[in-house]
Amino acid sequence: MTATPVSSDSITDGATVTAPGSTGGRSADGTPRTGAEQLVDTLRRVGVEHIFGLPGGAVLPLYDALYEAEGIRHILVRHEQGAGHAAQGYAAATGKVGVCLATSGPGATNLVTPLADANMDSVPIVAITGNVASTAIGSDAFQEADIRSISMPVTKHSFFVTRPDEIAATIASAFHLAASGRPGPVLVDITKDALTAHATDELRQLPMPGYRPASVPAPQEVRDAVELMLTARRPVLYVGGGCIRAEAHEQVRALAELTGMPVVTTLMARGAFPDSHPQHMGMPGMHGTVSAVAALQKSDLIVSLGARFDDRVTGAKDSFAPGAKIVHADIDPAEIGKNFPTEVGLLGDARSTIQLLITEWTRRTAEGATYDYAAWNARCRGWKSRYPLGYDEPSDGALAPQYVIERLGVLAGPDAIFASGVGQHQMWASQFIGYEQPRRWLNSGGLGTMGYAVPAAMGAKVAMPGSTVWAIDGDGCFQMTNQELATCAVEGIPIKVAIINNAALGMVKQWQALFYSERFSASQLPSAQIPDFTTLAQAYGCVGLRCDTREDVDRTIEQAMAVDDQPVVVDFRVSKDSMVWPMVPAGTSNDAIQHARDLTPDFGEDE
Amino acid sequence: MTLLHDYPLPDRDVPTAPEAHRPPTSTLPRRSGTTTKGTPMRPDRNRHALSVLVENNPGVLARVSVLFARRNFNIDHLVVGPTEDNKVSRMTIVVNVNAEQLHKVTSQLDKLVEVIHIQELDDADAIRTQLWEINDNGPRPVGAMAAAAF
Repeated sequence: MTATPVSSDSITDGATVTAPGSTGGRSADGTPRTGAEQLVDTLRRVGVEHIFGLPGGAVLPLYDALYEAEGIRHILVRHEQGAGHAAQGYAAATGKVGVCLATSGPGATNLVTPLADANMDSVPIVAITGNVASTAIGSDAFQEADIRSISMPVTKHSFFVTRPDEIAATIASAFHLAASGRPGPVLVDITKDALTAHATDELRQLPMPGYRPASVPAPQEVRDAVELMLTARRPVLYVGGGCIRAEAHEQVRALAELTGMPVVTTLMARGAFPDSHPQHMGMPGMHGTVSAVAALQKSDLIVSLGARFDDRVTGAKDSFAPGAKIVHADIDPAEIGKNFPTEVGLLGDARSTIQLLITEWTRRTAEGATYDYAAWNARCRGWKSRYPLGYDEPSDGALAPQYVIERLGVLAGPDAIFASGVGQHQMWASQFIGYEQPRRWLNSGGLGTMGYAVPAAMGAKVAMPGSTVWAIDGDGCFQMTNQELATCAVEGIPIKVAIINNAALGMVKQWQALFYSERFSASQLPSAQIPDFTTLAQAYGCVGLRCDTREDVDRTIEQAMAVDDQPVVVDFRVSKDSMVWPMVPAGTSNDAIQHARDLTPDFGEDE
Repeated sequence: MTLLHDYPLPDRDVPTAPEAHRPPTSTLPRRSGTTTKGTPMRPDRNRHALSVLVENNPGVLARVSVLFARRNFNIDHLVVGPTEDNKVSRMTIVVNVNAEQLHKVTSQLDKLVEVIHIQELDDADAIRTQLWEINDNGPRPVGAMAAAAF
């Protein structure tokens, strides 16, 4: 709660000053501009180059204005959910705001899943939807849906615009909201009559007096945090997705190397700290490495940088890191202390916060402050070498999914971008690919949206046409959104898709195997026969490849890498029984981690 | 009130209007202006009153109440009214939550773009009493409605 005094003139009609570049509502030849034209002008003004969308009755005026718009490429998707995830992939790969566009009613409701996904993972996207004319609002008109209200709990903010003169300002404000502070999805719903009416663009930005994103933490809190870091004996840097969103990877590395603390990177932060770095203990959480889980669990100080103590990381809350104090750096004040009591809260942007910690640490150590993490670091390195990630070859001689993913990582190289769906293949892709740079790993972390991979890869490839983009997908996930292969083929977006086809909803099946007496209720798919993924790919205008054996893996990947003018789909038929290890069973303590089935690691004696 | 016949009658005796919601010992006349009338006013340290300044936009009430609903908090009392600035409205919200939960919900509330300012008001019990006086003017809950209310 901030105590900003509010006077009656603090919300003015301000921002109405005609800004440079304003056309005063008229085009160059003096004809009045419509709301839709002002919208397109505003998109151009805020730097939009790509839009993913699908038209319909209520957005026809906008599509008409886009028809001749220069500098903006519209990519026609096959389903609005694909547009939303593509905008997410675009944003996650670049840090720019992704844009998706849909019509009223079902077009808008189809965007709800990507909006919720972006909200959980703090992805900056703007969704623009048309709605029926303002005279018909509330009449249950054809294709009317109250998307502003529907999207309230799953967006950073949602606007409903009925007045044409407010379109330009609302769109500009939506981009500001999406990208600033803790990034997130913003929806702008505009009635059809506002799009067609004449409009001015004199209002350039909404006042938004209640929106005050945090910038840098208070100096005293930085001093307190560094004091705790210096006196700690077993500290750990817990790096989350905020460090990717804030472009803080260089600062993370500098702080880690300056202090010598062990580092763990969450699922959302893979690539924020190089996997090859000796201080990197891996990913914590339910399917994290033993060393990362142990480093958190046995620590006496957790320095959380842009992470949010998700239940998949902490396991059972009452037994998470029992000896640890918490320093929590986050740009969102509601995250600090949300799940665990926090010793010091650092409210601000991750990059500037870490920079301040570095400065303060340097000052204190120059003044002679000492610290000693040697014994702790040796213990962490011991866990890392004793319990590396690994897997057993399937006993039935089938292809190991982990091997496929490992080879994909090696052959595609460190510059390739990987997008994944949700499930076993996602965990293997986070475990067995080495991420050295940020924004190379795109996935649905918080919401866990199956079907994210193909459209997100499409969005990333549009944003980064020079990079190789692989979607690593499961056979279940792939069937949720594979219609976007048609978009990729038609629009010339040559993504590559690796289907890790175990003919099952693998993670569900794993849980049923472990916790439901192998009663595989509704978790097996006939994906070895139906659909035939190679001919499906060909039907969509893609190259379809198949791989069944270990010997063929490298050759098949190289064959896929050689195709540059078409999307490629590779059906890797892998073992049906492979499981993701290590695993902390749901609802249990992180101390109960198993590095392989029924094998619990020995963390050694506490100091 | 016709709905009464569509519901099975409750087993126990249900107080009927107008006593249904009043402490049976109350002898004070209605609208007396004193503070003892109305619903039982046990002081409750988990009762908190918030004064929230919001932008006077359509949908802002829904946005605020959705936020409480998402955290599974029941709003005890809620009043929205204008301020001297016609672009700003004031919401007075009384909730029954402990201090820790209140802190969490206000930090979420503060994130809403249309929320300008939040302040916790001191005497939540007295505010609730006064809001009760404002609100206590409609039909009485009777029969099944009263049973649901108790």
